[in-house]
Amino acid sequence: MSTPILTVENLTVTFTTKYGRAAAVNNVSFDLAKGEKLGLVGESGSGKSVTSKSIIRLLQSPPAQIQGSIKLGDVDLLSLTEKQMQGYRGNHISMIFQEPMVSLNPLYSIGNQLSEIIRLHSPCPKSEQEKRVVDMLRTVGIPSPETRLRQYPFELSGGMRQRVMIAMALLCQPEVLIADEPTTALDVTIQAQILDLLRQLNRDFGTSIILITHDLGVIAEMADKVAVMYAGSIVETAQVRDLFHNPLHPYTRGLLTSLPSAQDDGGKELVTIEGNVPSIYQLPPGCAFHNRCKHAQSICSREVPPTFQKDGRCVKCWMYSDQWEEEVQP
Amino acid sequence: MSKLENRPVLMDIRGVKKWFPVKRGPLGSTKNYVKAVDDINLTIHQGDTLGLVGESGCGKSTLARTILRLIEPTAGEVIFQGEDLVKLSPAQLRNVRRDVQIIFQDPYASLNPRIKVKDILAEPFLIHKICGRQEALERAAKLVNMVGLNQDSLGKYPHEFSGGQRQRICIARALAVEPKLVVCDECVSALDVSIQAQIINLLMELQRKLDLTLVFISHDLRVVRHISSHVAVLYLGKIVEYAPKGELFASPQHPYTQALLSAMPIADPDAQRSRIHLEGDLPSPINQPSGCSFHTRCPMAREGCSVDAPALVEITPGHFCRCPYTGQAAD
Amino acid sequence: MKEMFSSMVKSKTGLIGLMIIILVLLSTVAAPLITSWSPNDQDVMNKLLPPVWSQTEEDRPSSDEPAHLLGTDQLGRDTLARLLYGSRVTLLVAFGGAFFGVLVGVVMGALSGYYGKWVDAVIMRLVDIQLSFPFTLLALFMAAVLGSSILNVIIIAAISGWVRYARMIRGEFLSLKEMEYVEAIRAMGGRNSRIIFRHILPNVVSPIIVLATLELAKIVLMEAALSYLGMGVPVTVPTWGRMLSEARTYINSAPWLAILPGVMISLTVLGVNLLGDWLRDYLDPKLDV
Repeated sequence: MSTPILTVENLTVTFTTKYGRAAAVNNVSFDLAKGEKLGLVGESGSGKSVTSKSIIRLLQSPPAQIQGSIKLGDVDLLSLTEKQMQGYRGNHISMIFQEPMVSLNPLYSIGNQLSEIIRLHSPCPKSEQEKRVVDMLRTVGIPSPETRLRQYPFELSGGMRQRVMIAMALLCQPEVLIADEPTTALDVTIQAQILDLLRQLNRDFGTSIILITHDLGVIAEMADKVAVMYAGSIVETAQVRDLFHNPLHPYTRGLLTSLPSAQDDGGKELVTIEGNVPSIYQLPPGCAFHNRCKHAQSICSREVPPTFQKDGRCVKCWMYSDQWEEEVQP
Repeated sequence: MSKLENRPVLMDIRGVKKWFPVKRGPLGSTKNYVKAVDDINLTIHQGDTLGLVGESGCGKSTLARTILRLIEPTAGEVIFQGEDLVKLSPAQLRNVRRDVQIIFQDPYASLNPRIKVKDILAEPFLIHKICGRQEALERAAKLVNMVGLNQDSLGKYPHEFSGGQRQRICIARALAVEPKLVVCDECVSALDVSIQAQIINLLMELQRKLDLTLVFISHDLRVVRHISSHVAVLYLGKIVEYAPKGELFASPQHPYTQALLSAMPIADPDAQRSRIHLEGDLPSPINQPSGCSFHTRCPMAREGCSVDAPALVEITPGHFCRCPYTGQAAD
Repeated sequence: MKEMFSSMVKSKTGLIGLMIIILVLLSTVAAPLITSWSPNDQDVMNKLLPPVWSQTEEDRPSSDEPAHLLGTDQLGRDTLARLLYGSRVTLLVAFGGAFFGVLVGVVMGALSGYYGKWVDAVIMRLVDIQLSFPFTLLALFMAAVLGSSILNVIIIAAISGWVRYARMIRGEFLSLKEMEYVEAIRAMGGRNSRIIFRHILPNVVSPIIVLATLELAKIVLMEAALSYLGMGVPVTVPTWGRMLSEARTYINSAPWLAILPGVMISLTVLGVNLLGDWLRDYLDPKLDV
């Protein structure tokens, strides 16, 4: 793919609370090419939402402390003032959230909330504002947009609201759209509609998408490239086919076998990952996954693994180091 | 599947309805009803796992609560071991509750935050006066083992556990009094994938060991497919299709089932996807469409569909479908 | 008990609260040891005497009577004695009123919220009716019917307070009875009494404590208002509220008469609040105090 449009390097987000200081996101790096769909997958507490919120700078700081660099084109988003950042949000980078029920203000009509975005970023006459809003609502598949414009959020169903949210996010044609669990709160048939819509928008406008989800099925259908997160770190990055057909990291393998497959008729027990996701305040030393890992050796509990390159893929696991053979021998 | 059919019937649900009145106007006169559960007939055999699937608002959770009489049904009979639960007095019902249990979706809301695990697990024994407090606590210790938690758990409060561990506690509580039927209401939906698999394995293992009958409610077809022996698909309070699991997934007959199956995300980037698109949203359950309630979204709806409500018909032995045009699958 | 005490020491504020309350109670009990004046003795020669530290040479009584440490009021009664003896009735009325208010309110609110339907309708209409009467009118009516005595002030306080508890408890019950852990006990075959007392009530303790501590201060002032209207405790009984209301006329010339009971009321309420905060945290298993 072409040169990356968004580059995240060594992003670390720490929180200081009464339980102590902990890194919700630890040294995370990835990049996103133009028109690419990156899937960020992980379980609750893996840091995927914190990562996305730091990219669009929606984290309250303090308590969050953000280090590293997040470059959109040539601009480091972390060095912008809040005022400058406001100009970037919506215009260059947008976000949609899990809960379409609470993401819209119940007191304003759909049309009003959408045209506000235009007024903020590219002021133009009222008639043109409305035309752009109607066009965008039609693009996201809302029937009879002219009448929907005058409706209020409570008059729309969950799927429709998520469409409105997507319309709102795409009004100013941002280069990057962050979708944080956009279909988790929706029913399967509606989820299918929304995923189709996101794919279509990605194709038509070339918008790059970061899709955050815990659902590997959604990832398999949507993403070009996948980053798997565990306890604040990216443990594996790969093209979607490689990841599903040949997962490298033991955690990724465990995730895939934990999932009842579409052809599964029961009978077989699911191969699970033992134990529980650790709290970021009590991470085990060394590799955060080692106490749930079947392959763990002594080095895993001593040192945090660096990111190894294997066949053009990145994996954060000692199994792929040169000294692994020696580790296993004794 | 014939092996299963020969087993005794544990629960027979006959014509169960739950209509919630919608009150309007200053005097609260009833103008309309939400037909959350509308004329459900199901037979659950001993040792079966009945999967109930459907989207939000299809009535699956209401049905679960109605057959346990946590909600009073508007009409119908729930025959459990020869007794109609609907007709039991409160005292009789409390006795029967030993045999039918429920596990809820949210492991955070289903444990009282102010009670320690040992007391949570001892409570069922005390409620049914099975034994004294001392023995109840000993039994609680055994239960904790059974669901794979260690003994330290007993002295802790629910908030000290993760979601998966809490769900294990809920399972232990439900199984404490050795029920015959357990309803799992979306009991793995709130859990992470790796934890979800642990809980599914645990449930299936306990089912084998204790000869449990399960009613497994979920919106996740992959999980239902893994765990169930029979599946009923619900749409707007009605069963639209019911069949043994293998048959339902291999040859779904109702257009809604077909669409639901095709919308299921597959964790394989190379999977062949021929998605059936459903237009629009679920209709409001207050003003249900006339005729077949699915006709507003059905890709193969024809003229008659908006007029006549189709009946649930047995198309092949054991396979029921509520659509007169089955066998003519959408392309 | 030991665990409770160590948690209290650890929280500091709880300990301070407890010490304040013990101090207040102790001074009440030990009143005769602290001052030899009785609260209704009139030292007519020394009216409106300021406290000792601001007494000038000419203020100081010449007689060999014991000194008025905190001065005297417009009738020459010893302020210290009135404060110490006054706290007896004041605390009795405040704690008694709050206690019975909570008791009635919790029972009514629980019945109303848990059983709903006509029980709820009846109790909530009762609440509405009571709230539609101005408090003074209600108090006047009750005082006229019951006559004025300490017990009646407690009853009036309880009656004026229960509606607030009932409403709050009803709301808590409405939401808590829908919780899945309550449903789980119901599905288990648990009786209503078990659900109410073991599973719902312990979860409404925090808001009850908060409301009750706030209510205490209110009752002290209510008692003052009632006394001012002549419907409170008999005139011969000293209370902080009465002292406060009598001091109003002299607020410019003898400010200590208002300040001293005011300080005592604030101090007591502060102590109760601190203790209540600690108790609330102590009872919450999520907070490791």
